[in-house]
Parts: sequence; structure tokens; C-alpha cells
Amino acid sequence: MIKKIITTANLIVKNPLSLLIVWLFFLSTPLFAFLRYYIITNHFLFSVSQRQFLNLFLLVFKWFLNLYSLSILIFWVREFNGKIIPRGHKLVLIGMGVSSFFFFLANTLLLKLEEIQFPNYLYSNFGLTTDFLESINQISLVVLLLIIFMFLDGGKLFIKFYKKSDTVWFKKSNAVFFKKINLILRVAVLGIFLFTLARSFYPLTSFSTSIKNSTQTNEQKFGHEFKFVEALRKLTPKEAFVIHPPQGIKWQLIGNQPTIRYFLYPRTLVSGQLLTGPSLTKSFPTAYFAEVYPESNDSKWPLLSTSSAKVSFDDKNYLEYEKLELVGTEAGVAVYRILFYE
Amino acid sequence: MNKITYFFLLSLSILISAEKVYFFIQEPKYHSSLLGIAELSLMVGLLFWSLYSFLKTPPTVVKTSDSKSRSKPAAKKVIAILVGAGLFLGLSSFWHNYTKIALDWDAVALYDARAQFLRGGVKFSEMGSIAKYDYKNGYYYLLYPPFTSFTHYLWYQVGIPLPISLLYTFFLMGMGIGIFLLLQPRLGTTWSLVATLLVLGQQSLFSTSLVAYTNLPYTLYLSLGILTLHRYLIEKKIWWFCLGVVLVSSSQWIRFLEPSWLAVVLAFFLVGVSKDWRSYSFKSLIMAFYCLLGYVSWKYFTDVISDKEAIFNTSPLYILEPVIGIFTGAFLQMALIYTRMWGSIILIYLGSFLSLLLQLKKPEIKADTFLFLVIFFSFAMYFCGLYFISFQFDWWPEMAGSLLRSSTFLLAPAIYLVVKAVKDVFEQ
Repeated sequence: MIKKIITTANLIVKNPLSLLIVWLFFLSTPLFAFLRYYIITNHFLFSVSQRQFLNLFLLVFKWFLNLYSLSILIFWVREFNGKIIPRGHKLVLIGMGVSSFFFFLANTLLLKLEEIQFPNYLYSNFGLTTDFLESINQISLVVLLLIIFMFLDGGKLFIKFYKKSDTVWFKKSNAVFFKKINLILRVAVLGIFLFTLARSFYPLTSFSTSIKNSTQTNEQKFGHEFKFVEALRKLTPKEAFVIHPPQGIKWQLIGNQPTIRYFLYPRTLVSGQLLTGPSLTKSFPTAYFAEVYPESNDSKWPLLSTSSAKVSFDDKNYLEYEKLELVGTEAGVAVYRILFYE
Repeated sequence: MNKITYFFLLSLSILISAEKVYFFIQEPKYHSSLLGIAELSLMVGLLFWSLYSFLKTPPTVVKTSDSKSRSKPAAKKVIAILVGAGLFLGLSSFWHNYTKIALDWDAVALYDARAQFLRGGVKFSEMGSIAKYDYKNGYYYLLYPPFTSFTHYLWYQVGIPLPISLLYTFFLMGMGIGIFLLLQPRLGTTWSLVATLLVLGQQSLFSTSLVAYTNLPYTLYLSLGILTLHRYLIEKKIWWFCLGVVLVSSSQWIRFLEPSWLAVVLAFFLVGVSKDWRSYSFKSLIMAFYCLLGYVSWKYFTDVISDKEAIFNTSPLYILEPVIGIFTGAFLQMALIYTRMWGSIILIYLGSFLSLLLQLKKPEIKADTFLFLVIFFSFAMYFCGLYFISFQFDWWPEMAGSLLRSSTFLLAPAIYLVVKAVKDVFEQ
């Protein structure tokens, strides 16, 4: 019974159509990912467990197809060593190579779309993540390289590869088991080598991303809060004390003292979080600050009460001040000088 | 080739050593401490020992394994293609850094910022006082050792009319040259070029040449230090040992958070002891002592002189929790997440192990085992570090990117092992 199953499996695997069908399924995984997205967004599946099952299915499906097609390829290498590769198999290999190339090209173009448009563009439109596309891209490159190697050396490489597989490891041992392990090890190492080779194409595929990153200005890199830093840099003297908002999610750049110091040095920076009472202001009776998000209810800083001449820099405690004057505005950001009581 | 390799590595060692001496002179509290004096004396001693032994011994011609293929025109074509690919890598990094308008976040907040403070006349020990009105980041300027900031400072002081980010392209080129020179006698010209390209082309490494962070110089010094020690284990020339030790220990002066040198010391000790107990135990001791001195002297500087705040809590209660976690399943859960954090790059490290198995009968197996042990101990170190951190911070799974960037020094040894095994298959 087992023998019969093995013989049938052997026949299936040897058939060129078996690899072709699996490979075509693999190429269609982005379509399955899109289908999954379509099902979820159109509320065909309601329960979380159903959705989780679908996600898991797609993941297993992708890896199963990938490993299965690679296994068949390696089986073919072993099967046809020292023999002429039959025409049918050759055609399938050429087809796989060509489709791998175009598949890689199409995926790379999709990845570029995400760069050009906005983050999450691919997922929100096609249900595809960049991780998913990058992983199938690497697989298609490995397959392509494997096929190129097979054809480049007219198959000789793999004949040598197989025949010499029992020479180094367990040299003295004649046990077939160890020879097989040795062959498996060599196939695995060669696969990993090809995988590493495919990964090393990264600088080539990411060239446009690199250029895009290099042309970013400070404002693009550090976000819109950079305008507060620029206003302070332009409108305050170099020996000034500058008060800035407390560090946290609300004021990600302007509250981050080490980062803004780079642009404002040699000014002395004071975190608003420390200004809980009048004791600290004695060491700097005059200071400067930029009004941050004056229109916002949540992120407005500092909290000013001009009628009672009070200000809160830590969002909790109010300090009395002697004088407050507008130094100027830069790109819509107002910068003030504040004089505390000595 | 041997001479070029030696003087290339020596100049890298002298660069960092000269900066250390400059730092030593600048900081009065440091040069009056016994630790600082001991570290610098040993560093100078090792460099002189290395140079003296190199100049004293007549150089021998190292036979490379590609002597047969040298005459083949096809081999020349392959070499030309590989060199072209290497130039493409270098030029794309150059172009990116040359046209770069703004530096990235950490460079702005720390590395280049400290260079600006140095230019303003502020010493390292005084940098904590710049942040005296900051409630959160008192320790920040001393969190990383000074190498990158000092090199930026030198760049500005010398007046090089090029953007500072280009320094990292030069580090990448240095990395490529160093790997090629060190691997060439083992793999031959073609395969060492392949290995170099495979290392430099990896996303986690190449991308560090596009940001002015500590990762690339750290990888440069540590990787080349490990490969130099590997060469010492094969050729047994004392100059490689001295340079390797200086390079590995100096990497602590670039990044301090991960004690990767510990993995190198441990691997060297285990392999050395199994080779020849008498001669290697002494050398392992020198290596361990010098690396430990480098660790303690910087720690002393940050903790005692500059009142650095502790980042991680090391009280017994915080240590007890992870220990109990081993029995409650947290350990296993962490192991799963840890494996996932590495992503597909873990295959390369797995490949290095499989390649080692294939090379068991080869004469260089002990030196190659040293490389694998460095990878193995580093994996264990990262795991233990993350395991303990996971009990103190919720954000630890977000450290995956940082883990990949700081572990790039393992790529060169791992890829060397894989390429060596593949070369063996192809050439038999």
C-alpha cells in the first residue's frame, strides 16, 4: 500500500504539469490576498475567528506552495542528474523563469506605488502589505536564480554537486543514511546561498527610496513641528534661555530637548515640565518660547492667562510673570519673550 | 596582499586609538584615573607588539586558492562583473549621502550634536550639564561612546568640503575592502568578492551606510576584528592577534549597549583551549583583560565622573522575575517572538551552522568554529538581554529593527561560512 502511494507520488512529482500547476498557484497568491481583503471589507465574514482562520490559511498557503515548488525543483535536479532534461520539463522551467522575472517586476512596481502614494496605500486598495510582496519577491528571485544556474552550466553543476556529495562529510562511512544527510545539507546551504544572493539585490531595488530619503528637508524629516524650532532659531538670540513643552506624544519634536538642541545650540533649553514653581525661574529671569498649536484645545502650549498675568508651562501649575512681549512671528509661529519676577 | 591587509587594519586601529588618546588628554578626570591609564598603555603596547612582530618577520607569500582560475579569461570577466557590482554599491551609497539634505533623527539628537558641542568647546564630561534643565534625558549624551561624534568633529575641524554623511559611505567602502582583503587568502579573489558583495548588499547593513548612526562603524571594527582573529587562528601570526584584539575591544568605544566582545572572548577561549591549552590560555587572558578594561573604563567614566543615570533597573527583584518566568512559560513565548524578530535573515545564520557541518573534516575547522561560536554566543546574548528587558519595558518587541541593525557584524562571519561551503561544492 505504502509502496503504491510512493510510486504514485513519484509519478505525480515527475510530471512537468505538477510543478507548473503549483507554480501558477504561487503566482496567484497576491490575488488570494486581494480576495481575502475583499471578503473582509465587504463583511462576508463577521467573527474574529473566521478572519483569523483566513489570515492563517493565506500564510500557510503561501509557504506551502513556495516550499512545495522548491522541493519539486530540487527533486528534478536529483532526478535528471547526468541525463538530458526532457522537453516538457525544460519548457516548464523556462516558463517558470520568465514568469518569475515578470512577477518580480510587477511586485517591485507595486512596491514603488506605495512609495509614490502614501504608506498603507497597497493594503487599503489591494489588500497587499509590503512585507507580503517583499517575501514573495525574494522567493521568486531564488527560483529564478536556481533555474538560471541549471541552464547556465547545462546541468553539469548539479551532476557534480550530487556525485561529490558523499566525499567530505563522514568520509569513511559508507552508510547511505549519512550520504543522504550530506546531500540534504548541501542542497540547504546552496538554497541559503541563493537566498542570501537574492537578498543582496536590496540596494538595487531600493535605489529610488534612497534618493527620495536623501532629498527630504528637515521639515519633511522631522514633521510640521519643525516650524516652531525654525521660528525660535530665527527670532531668539544665541545666549537666550528657551522654554519648550514637556516631552511626550503631544509634542513629539518640540518637546524633545536633545533633538531641538541640535538646531538651537548654544541657547539654553528648559523643559516646561520643570517649571512647576517660581524657584527655577530665578536662575533665568528672561526666557523665550514659541506658541505651539494655539488653535488646538488638546495640544495648545503654554496655557496663558494674560488677564491675570499667569502662564503654565507644564500643563498643570501656573506661574506669575512680570512682562510678556511678542518678539515676532515666523511662518505663522509667534515667539514671545517672558520676564519673571525675581 | 598580506602587507596591504596589515596596514589597512593598522590604520583603522590607529584612527580609533588616536581619538582615544585625544579624549584622554581632553578629560582631566579621565587621565588621572588608573583605569584610563591602564587601558591606553595596553592599547599602545598591543599596537607596538603587533607592528614590531610584523616588521621583524619576513613576509611569506600566501598561496591563494584561485591560482588556477587566474589564467582563465572567464574568471577575469566574472571578477570584472563583481567589481562593477561593488562599485555600484559604493556609488549608490555615495550619491545618496552626497545629495542628502537633512541628517536622520539619532544623528541630529546625539552623534552630530555632540560634534557641534565639541566644536563649541564643551568637553564630554560637561555634556551632562548642557541638559541640566531637562527632566528626562540627563544620561543621553553619555549613552553612546564618543567615536562617531569625535570623527564628525575631526571632519569639521579638518575642513573637509563634503557632507558629513559621506563618512558613512567611506565606512562602507572600508568594510568592503577589509572583508575582501581578509577573506581573499581563504576563498580566492572571485569567491571573496562574492562574499563581500553578499555582506554589503544585505538590507540591514547597506541601509546603515545611509544614516549617520553608530551601527556601521561598530560593524566595521567588530567584523574585521573577528575576521582578523579568525586569521590568527589559522596563520598563528601574533600581529593578527594584537590587531584583532584592539579592533574588537575598540568597538566598545563606538557602541556600548551590547557587550558583543564577550561572545568573541568566549569563542576564542573555547577554540583556543581546544587547540593548544598553554599558548592560547595566556592570549585569551590578555584579550579578556583588555576588553574588560575597555568596558570598565568607559563605564567608570559615565557612572562616576558624569553621574550617568541607570537605564535598566538591576535590583534583585527585577532579576528574580525573569528567572521565575522560565518556569511559567514566559521564556518560551519570548523565544518565539525573538525568532520572529530576526525575520528571514535568520536563514543566513542557520546556513552558517549547516556550512560548518559540511566543513567538519577540513583543516580550518577550528578557526571556522570560532566564527560560528561568535554567532551562537551573540544570539544567546541578545536573547538573554531581551528576555530581561521584556520584564521591565512593554516596548521591547519594537527593538527588532535595532536588533537587526546592531547585529550586522555577524553577517560577515556567517556569509563567509556559507560561501566557503558553496565554493567547496562548486570547485570539487
